[in-house]
Amino acid sequence: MNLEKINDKANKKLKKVVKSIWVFNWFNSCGFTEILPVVGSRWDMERFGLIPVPSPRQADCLIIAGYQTMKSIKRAKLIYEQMSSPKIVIALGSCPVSGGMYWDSYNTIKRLKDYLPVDLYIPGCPPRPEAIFDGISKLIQKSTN
Amino acid sequence: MRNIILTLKSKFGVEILKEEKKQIWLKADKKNLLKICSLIKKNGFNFFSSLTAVDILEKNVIELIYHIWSEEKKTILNIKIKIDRERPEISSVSNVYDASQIHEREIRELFGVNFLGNPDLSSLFLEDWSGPAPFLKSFDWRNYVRKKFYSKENKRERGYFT
Amino acid sequence: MFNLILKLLIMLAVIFGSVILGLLFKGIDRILSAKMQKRVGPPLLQPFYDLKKLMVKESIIPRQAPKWIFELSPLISLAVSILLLFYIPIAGKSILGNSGDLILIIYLFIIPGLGLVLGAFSSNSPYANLGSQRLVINMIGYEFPLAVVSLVPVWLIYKNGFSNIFSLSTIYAHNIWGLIGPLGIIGLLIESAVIFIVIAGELSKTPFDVEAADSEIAGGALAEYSGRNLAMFYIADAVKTLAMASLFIALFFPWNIQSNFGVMFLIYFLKLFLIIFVSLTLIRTITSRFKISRLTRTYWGYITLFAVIGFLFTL
Repeated sequence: MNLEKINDKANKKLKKVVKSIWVFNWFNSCGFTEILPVVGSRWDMERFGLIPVPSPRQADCLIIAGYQTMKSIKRAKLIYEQMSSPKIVIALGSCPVSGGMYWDSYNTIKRLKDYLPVDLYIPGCPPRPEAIFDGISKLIQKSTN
Repeated sequence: MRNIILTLKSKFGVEILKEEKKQIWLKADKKNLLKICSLIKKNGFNFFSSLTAVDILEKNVIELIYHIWSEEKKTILNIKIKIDRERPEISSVSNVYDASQIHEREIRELFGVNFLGNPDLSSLFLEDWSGPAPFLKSFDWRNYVRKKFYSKENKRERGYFT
Repeated sequence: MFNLILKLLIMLAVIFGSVILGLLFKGIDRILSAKMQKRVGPPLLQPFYDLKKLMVKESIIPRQAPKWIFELSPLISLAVSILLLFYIPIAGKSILGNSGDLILIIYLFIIPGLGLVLGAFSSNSPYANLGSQRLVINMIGYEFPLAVVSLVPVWLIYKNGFSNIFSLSTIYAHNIWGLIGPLGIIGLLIESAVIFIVIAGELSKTPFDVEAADSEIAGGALAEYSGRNLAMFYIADAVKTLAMASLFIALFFPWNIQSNFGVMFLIYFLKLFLIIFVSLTLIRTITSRFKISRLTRTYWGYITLFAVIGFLFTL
């Protein structure tokens, strides 16, 4: 599991929100298919305090799951600016890391960190629910140190 | 059914390529398209199903295929039209069939075919696009992506440039 | 003088105690609902963590929203929700009980909902507009069965010749289940069934939560609220649950062991838990949302019909 280096300021930001993270419903790529079981009943995401909320003003986490085209990254940036701080961004899948399966496509973005500040990368294509939980628990552990 | 096909054959010089139980393939000429569409619309073919395009690089043509369905006769007419690849232009059928306006918009964006008479030809999927038409076989997408997104000085991306 | 200071101290204790108790019940409700759906729920103190996080976030005010209405409406909702608890007898005693009666309480119950309507209208967004209109329809709907249900104990006390019929202490002192014959017991059972549905409707939980429809109108009435204002609406919702359940305990189920205050409070806590479990958790987990076109028909048609039938049985 690869984490970006989190410095002290980011640590303080994480500490404030980490016990109850409210996730915004921006599910629009193929990595979304493995977030659905996480919301559901078998791999329950509410036991960590995460709930899906409908409006970006009430949310403090934006999950970018999979590829984003040049058209939809502008809308994702608008939503990121509408959220109230402190906020975190989670990049799910191998497409936001380095282009993934669509590395030679003329219409998708190749690196998410050129557009949004990312706090956590979870590689996989798409990652299994156990991998998602491993990443989130590493985020929680890192912030409480 | 038979007399529509015979009228088309005699008046506009249409060839029948293949005939099956519910589909008929026809081959027509580019300058007769509007008159053919007005004629078959009066005779029950009033549902515009789809519009596709095939890019044939060896013979230097783009082939457009119009799929039109009739509910009372339960048949699809597939009309194949070949146009020139250097200057792809054809008149639009959006006055006859209202639903064809958005199909022609998609073909204009992806293949570069110009439809004369279409009220709105803005792009659907590609925003801020400044390259050639992407679905043509002469578009080398790998070189385009390498130039735009990757750089040879980056150590991790050097492998893409071999 | 000393009485006044004592009353003020008790009011402070009720304010803090009600917030803590309300959030505790919210946590219990979430855990039980999760267990009914065969999953592990959040930890018991999860609403406190939510509240702590919401207090730390920044509150964004939309540029064209009138700032004073936008910030005043959650305050109104929260203040009146806590004020209700001063009038309703809790475990036998109420702080301001002699100054207000049943009609005042029923009118005060409208105000937290009105606060949400006002706040949603003032946030300059089409989604919030739709949400507040639906909330107004919901409020018009549940007032009718609520009025019919609340008049049943009043009528019974009037029939048996007691005076001061609208005062809550009078209703609390006489056990209405002992004032009627066997037909009346059937009527009161029907009324109890209607009460559970009216509580769910007043607190806007599924199947009556048309104003916070997630997938239809992107957040509904609370679409533009964030940070401290959202925290105030969150607490107001929890405290209103307590107030609503306490009102119906005082009207319909007032039995208690006459002992010291601790034991009475424990029994009151158990009765609260039972009412909140049936009317919030059970109904919320089993059903799905009503369509907006059927909502008023359900309230003014079927539920009021059952309430009136129950009323006729007790005549």
